[in-house]
Amino acid sequence: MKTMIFKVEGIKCGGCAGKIKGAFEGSQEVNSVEVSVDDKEVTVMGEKLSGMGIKKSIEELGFEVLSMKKA
Amino acid sequence: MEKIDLKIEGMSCASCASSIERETAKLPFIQSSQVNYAMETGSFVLKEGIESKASLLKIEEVISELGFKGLEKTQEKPVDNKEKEKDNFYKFVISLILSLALFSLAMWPLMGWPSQKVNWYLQLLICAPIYFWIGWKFQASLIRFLKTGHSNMNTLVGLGTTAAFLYSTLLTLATEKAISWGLVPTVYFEAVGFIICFIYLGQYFEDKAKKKTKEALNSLFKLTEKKALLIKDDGVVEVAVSLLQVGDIIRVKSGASFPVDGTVIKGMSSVDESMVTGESIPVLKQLGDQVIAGTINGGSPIDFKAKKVGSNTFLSQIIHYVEEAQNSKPEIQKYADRISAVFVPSVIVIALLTFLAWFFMGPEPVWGTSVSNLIAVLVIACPCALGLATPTAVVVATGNASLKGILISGGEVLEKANNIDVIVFDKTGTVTVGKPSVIEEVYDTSIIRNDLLRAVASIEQFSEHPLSKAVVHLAEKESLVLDEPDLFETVKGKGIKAEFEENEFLLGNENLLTDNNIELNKSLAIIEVGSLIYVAKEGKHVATLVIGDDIKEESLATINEMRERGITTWMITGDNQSVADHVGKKLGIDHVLAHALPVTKAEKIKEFQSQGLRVAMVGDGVNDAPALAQADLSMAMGTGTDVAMSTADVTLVHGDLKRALDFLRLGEGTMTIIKQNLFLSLVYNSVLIPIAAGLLVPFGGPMMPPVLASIAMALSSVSVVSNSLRIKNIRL
Repeated sequence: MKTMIFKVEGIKCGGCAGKIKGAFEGSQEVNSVEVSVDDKEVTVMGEKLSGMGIKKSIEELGFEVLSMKKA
Repeated sequence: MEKIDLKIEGMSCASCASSIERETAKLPFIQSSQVNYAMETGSFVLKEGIESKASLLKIEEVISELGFKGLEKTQEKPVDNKEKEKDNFYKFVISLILSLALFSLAMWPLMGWPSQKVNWYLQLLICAPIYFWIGWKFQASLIRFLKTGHSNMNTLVGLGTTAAFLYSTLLTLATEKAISWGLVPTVYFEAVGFIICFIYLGQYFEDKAKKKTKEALNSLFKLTEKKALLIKDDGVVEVAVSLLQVGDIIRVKSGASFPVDGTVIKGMSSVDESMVTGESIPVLKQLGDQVIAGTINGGSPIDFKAKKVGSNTFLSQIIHYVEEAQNSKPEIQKYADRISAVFVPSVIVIALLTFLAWFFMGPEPVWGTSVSNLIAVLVIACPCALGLATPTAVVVATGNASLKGILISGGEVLEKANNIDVIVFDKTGTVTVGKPSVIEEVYDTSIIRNDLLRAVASIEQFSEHPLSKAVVHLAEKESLVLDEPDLFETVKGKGIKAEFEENEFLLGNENLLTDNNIELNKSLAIIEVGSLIYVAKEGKHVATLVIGDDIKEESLATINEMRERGITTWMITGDNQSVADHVGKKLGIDHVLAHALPVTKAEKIKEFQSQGLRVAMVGDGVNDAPALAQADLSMAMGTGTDVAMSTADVTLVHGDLKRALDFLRLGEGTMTIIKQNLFLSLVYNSVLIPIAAGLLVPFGGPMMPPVLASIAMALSSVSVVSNSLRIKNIRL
């Protein structure tokens, strides 16, 4: 299991968090997504994760990804 | 001061336009008049305090006296060029069929059938529609000449066909009487038919090569937004751009273009300002920065305050400039028309001299012989191949060019390619590739280049920055297999911090390194000018990449050859001085002007023109449009914007600069052929003029046998067409 943490600008409330979570629902590679509104962080877990793919998915929602970290 | 803009119909050449200008300028209430043949428009500025309604009628009257039709723009009928082309083709086909019928009656196989008298009547019947219907514009041109003294190629045709038709008609209707007056019993109906038929063939060719210049303005208007998001106290509403006022707060979403000029008050985004500068790399806009109508917001939403609206915006000024430049550009008079302008009066003088000579020195009956010879001179002098001289050369040249990716917007463009003194190049996208790429790489000696490049590209693929894409592109081109970094962090305005395969990397500008207390490695010296990416690995500066706009392969050789031809080369660019100087030096360009705004480029060209120089311009961007419109000859890169292509005379489809040179060579070659053609089309007729005048008669020779006119016509047409085919041999 791999874990990636993304710092995302523009997450303001639970609504934003829900939007991001919703984007990964039904995704084959992503097992779980956690969004922290306070830290503006998105934590993604899965077997075969593509950092680029996740970054793109988040950015398509209108947010800006400031950093990515593999844990 | 009021201005009247009219749509003018019926102009067939540049001298028509100038005659309207000349005549309307004579009206007491006109300050200045300007007529554009290509756009079919005229604008007339009235003197102070003159009311436009009454003067409009007077102007329209003057225009219609000259034989044209002035329409208020609102009544404008859209005339389809395709339709005109078809119309000319039908007229050619009909006149050809009728002319062949005339030929068979006059020469072979039905000569004299069924009797001389009936034969002539048949010819008259067949010839009348050609003369009155298909050839009416030539007759109209003759009438205009008699009224105003302005002549062109059509006048010559009108003169010859009218002389031939009236004489032949008279002979047919009153044969006995005419012969008793001493008129030579010869009819010229088939000559009338063939002359008009050939001229129409030429016009059909010419229409095929003609393009509407209006497209330039249409493509510029497309850049203007129609709707804008206006921010009010109670929310955001969509309004028409025309309603915006100075001081309004407007929101521009990602991907939309700015509706008016203004200043950013909220948000930060990268904006594509290539319309202004020609540079494709987006510019960062934040609080207090200027934004310009027509530029495109490529990042996040921006709120800005309107500073200039309506016709004051930057884009409106570009549109205005292009329109003015197109309207005020003197259309070059076609070479054939210039020749005709000399030929017409000469022919008339010779015809009159012939008449007088026979009248005073000829045998009885003097009236009959002198009129017969006068007519013979006018008929033989009408060179039908003159109408083919330019169009056939243009058709062959255009075909030859398009095979090589050079699209020409009209025949006169080939004439314009001659005697160019100065050529002005845009930089980005014209002499350079126009896209950022890695133009220089320097590495510390401790580094294996491919390993480091792979690491840098792997990290850069996570960045949206345009410079990053250049690095990724280079790595992909070299088939390096990229991986994902373990850590990626954007440092705003400075660069990227990352971890890749257990190593810590910093990629960015100088500030990023100094902020992290990393010393710059002095051994990594660079020569090129561009944007720098400093690469630090494990706290040490190990490489510097220069991202820039690479010079096109063919640029150096092309510019060298332009200079060898004695053309002064200029590069005028919206980019900064150091980049401009660097590129200019590498290419050996004579003069470089940087920081040029769109209108500055055009003004510079105007300045050259005022020194009597002929200027060619090569460009690709919206910012080049005013300069392209101003130049005597304009070429656009097919890889550039629609606006540039529709403004320019010539499009170099593949963006290959070498083709600009090829086009100049083709233009010169074609012009030589056109001049030879004009000579060929006139020489047979001219040689026969003395015979037509009856010069051989005193020496026991014959009066002009009518078959000679047909032989001259056939010989000159065949010579002209086969000479035009030689353009195929011009190597491109």
